Formats: sequence, structure tokens, C-alpha cells
Amino acid sequence: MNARWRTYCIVPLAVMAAGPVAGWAAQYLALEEAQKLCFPGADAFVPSDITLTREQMRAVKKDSGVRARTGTQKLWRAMRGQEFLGWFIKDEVLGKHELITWALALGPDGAVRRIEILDYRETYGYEVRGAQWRAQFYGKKHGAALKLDRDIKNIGGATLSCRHITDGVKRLLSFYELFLK
Amino acid sequence: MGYKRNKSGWHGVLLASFLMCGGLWAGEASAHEGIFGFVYTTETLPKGKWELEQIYQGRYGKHQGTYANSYFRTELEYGFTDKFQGAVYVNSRYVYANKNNADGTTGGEGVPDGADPNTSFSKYKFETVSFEGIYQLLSPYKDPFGFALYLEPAFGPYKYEIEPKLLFQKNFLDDRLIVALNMVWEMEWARDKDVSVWGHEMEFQNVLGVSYRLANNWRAGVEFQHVTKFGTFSLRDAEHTAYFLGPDLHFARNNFWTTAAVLFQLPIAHGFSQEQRDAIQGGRIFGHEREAVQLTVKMGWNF
Repeated sequence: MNARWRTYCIVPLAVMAAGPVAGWAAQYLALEEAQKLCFPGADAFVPSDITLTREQMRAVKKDSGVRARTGTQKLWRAMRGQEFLGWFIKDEVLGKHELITWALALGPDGAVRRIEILDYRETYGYEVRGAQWRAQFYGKKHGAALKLDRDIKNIGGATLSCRHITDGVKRLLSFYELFLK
Repeated sequence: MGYKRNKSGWHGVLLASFLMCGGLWAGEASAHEGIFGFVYTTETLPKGKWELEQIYQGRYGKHQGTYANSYFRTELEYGFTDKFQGAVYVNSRYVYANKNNADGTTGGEGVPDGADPNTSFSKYKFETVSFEGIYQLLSPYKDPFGFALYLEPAFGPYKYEIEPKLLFQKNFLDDRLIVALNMVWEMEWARDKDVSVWGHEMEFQNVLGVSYRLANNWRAGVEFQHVTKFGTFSLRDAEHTAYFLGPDLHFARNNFWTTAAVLFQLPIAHGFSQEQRDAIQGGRIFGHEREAVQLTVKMGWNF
């Protein structure tokens, strides 16, 4: 290999070496931490997973317009003694390359109480963790439009994540309406 | 086949390029990432983000013998706004040819007219520096479909090129399935080192890609390219059409991605003149510009 070829190969070889080494993945919250943030007054989270049939999944899709990724929905009843505080639902939506793990907290009336991002593994778009963006959903109930650039503001450079989390909220509000209410 | 010699000034393309680039400088989005080998999607880099990309494009196989045309591109992209990204490329080429023409002589793109047709030819050379602008008008995530304008002027000692493209993208199945279409118009001025007059030619391309998310980090798809070549800038001077089809594979993790695609020429080429028809063998056209196989391998690093 002559000098000119060696010089030319430096950049691509550096990229190949640097690419797989650098990492953006982050676990922001463990499950228990997210549960405490959503329901600080709760003293127990009772596992209440529901496995949907294909028919039920189709009903969620029909109601929300969003396809359910898996049949089993991980959820917990947040309790303080005998008092029911609300639902804590753990979910995943598609990110650009991997899955975004997030959680939705619903009050006893089915209104969104809080959203938390547990794992985010994408290069861009981590701004969806911002309190201000997540606060747009608080108080929303089944039937809300939940459309980017309509009742939910988009974050430039994080459009895909914003869209899929917004769709996720819409799907879980339909799930609540059909199977938890 | 080859360039029609013409003294028309290439500086027209310079002016047109700057004007068109200027028109594009105005101006939100997601990371630009090459999920296809030959097709661009309508996504652009977020504001203030950079991407370094290394691209290899190879074209192989003529009538007989050996022909390999390797095009190396190093690209640096920057997101000026969430809807507009610019890039600069450094382009170089390595050509190896040996008795690849129909008549057993050595030739093809990158082999100068003055080269000895009876021996093998190989040369590596710097070719051009090019500038790219992509402006996203419609987002595939918010609008019914994605739409972007692309412009790439290239400048080199023996070659000038301008390449406007219309980029379309439609996502299905919650963005698992992505379909993208590019309509490309490429105009080129070039001359051999020892020839003073500039030749010019143009190409129209329709490039279609379909990519499906197989699993986290992995995508696979199919790409189709339809090329019509013109010997001048006149639509009346169409020389031939050729069709290519093949698979692609894409991997991305964190800030790194890589894509490979290979396209095979389909045996349904059409020549618009006797000279062009003579360059067709087994339904595939070769001659000066076309080869049996095209390969792209590219990788990008976002920072």
C-alpha cells in the first residue's frame, strides 16, 4: 500500500473503529424509581398484568388507531393502604434503532398523571425526557386528540420519539378505556 | 458513446449551483441515516449535529475481461436547522480495466481515450469536491408523506456536475416499513486531462427503495434503479435505459450505522441508437457507462 492509499484509509478506518465503541444508551430510571416518582404516596404496587387476546388487541387498534406491539401489558395498581391511587403501566415503543422503555401513570379517573422515560438508547431525541414536554400530556383522558403539532408540541430533532410516545399514550388510554375502567 | 465535445462553459453550472443552494438556505427533523445504499430518505440531521460518512461505490463487469470502477467518498454533514442540512464531500476514483470491451479492447468510464486499448489500465485519482444541501419540506412522521429537495454540485479539475433530486418517503406499519423514491437529474461536464474541450451529458434516474425493520438495530430491503442516459442536455439525445435491482442490509447502534447494497443489472436494457443496441449483450447494456453490478458500502458516525 503506497502513502496516498494509507492517507486515504485513515478516515474510514477511524470511523469504523470509533463507531461501535462510542455509546449513547442510557437507563435513566429503574422500575421502582419510576413508580415512586409517579406515585410518591404509594406504599404498594400490586402487579396486575393483563394479556390481551388478538380480538382485544384489534379493539385497541380500532379505538386508538395505534397497533399494540405485544399482547401482555405490564401494569401495577398503586395503593396506599386500602386506597387505590391509580395505574402504573410500563410500556415500550419503537425508537429509531431500539425500543424506548417508558411508563404511564393514570389517576383513578383515567387521566394522565405522569410520564417517565426509563430507557432511551437513541443517538438523538433524548429531549423527550424534558419535564415540559411530558407535562403536555398531564390531565389528558381517553378521547383527547393527541396529535403532534396539534395538542402536543413536537421537539425538533426528536420527531420520531415524540410521535411514538404520543401514539403510545393514545394506545394506553384506549387500553384503559376498554379493559381497566 | 461518451461525451459530445462542446465548448459550452461549465461556469454556468457554478452559477446555477450557487443560486439553487442560496434558494435552499432557509429554514426541524430526525437524524439523517443512510438506511438504503442508493436511495436517500427525506430525514435531515438535527440542528447543530454532525455526521461523518464514508462511502464506497463500486461498479463491476462489462462485456468480458475485467472492469472495476471504485468511487470513494468522504462526507461531513451538518444540521444548520432541523430541516436543512449541508455537507461537503471529497470524491476520488480508482479504475481498473483489462480487455473489457465487446471487441476485446480496454475501455470504459475512467479510461482516457488516449490509453492503450490493448493493455490493462489502472489509475487512482482525486475527482471532485462536492457540496450537498437537503431541505425537508414535509416530515414522514408528521405529514402524510415526507418530501425533501436535494442539490449537489461537484467541482473538480476535469469534471463538474450538478445533481438536483426530489426525495419522497412514506412510512407504514408504525415506521417499521419505509418506502422511499428519488427522482434524480444529473448533469455533467467533463474532459480528459490532455483534451481542451469539455463534453457534457445528463442522466435521469428513478430510484426506489423499500426497507423493513427486521429487529432492533437491523433493517433489510430491496432497491430498484431506472436510469436513462442522454448524450447531450437535449431530451432528444436519449442513448439508453437500464434497470437495476438488488437487496440491502442496514445496521445501526447508538451513534454508528452501516449499510451495504448490491444492484444487478436486469436483462431488459433498451438502446435508442444502433451504437447503443450494439452495446447490449444478453439484454444488459455495457458500453462506456454501464456495468453488470453496482455495490455500495457506507458507514456513518454521528457526533
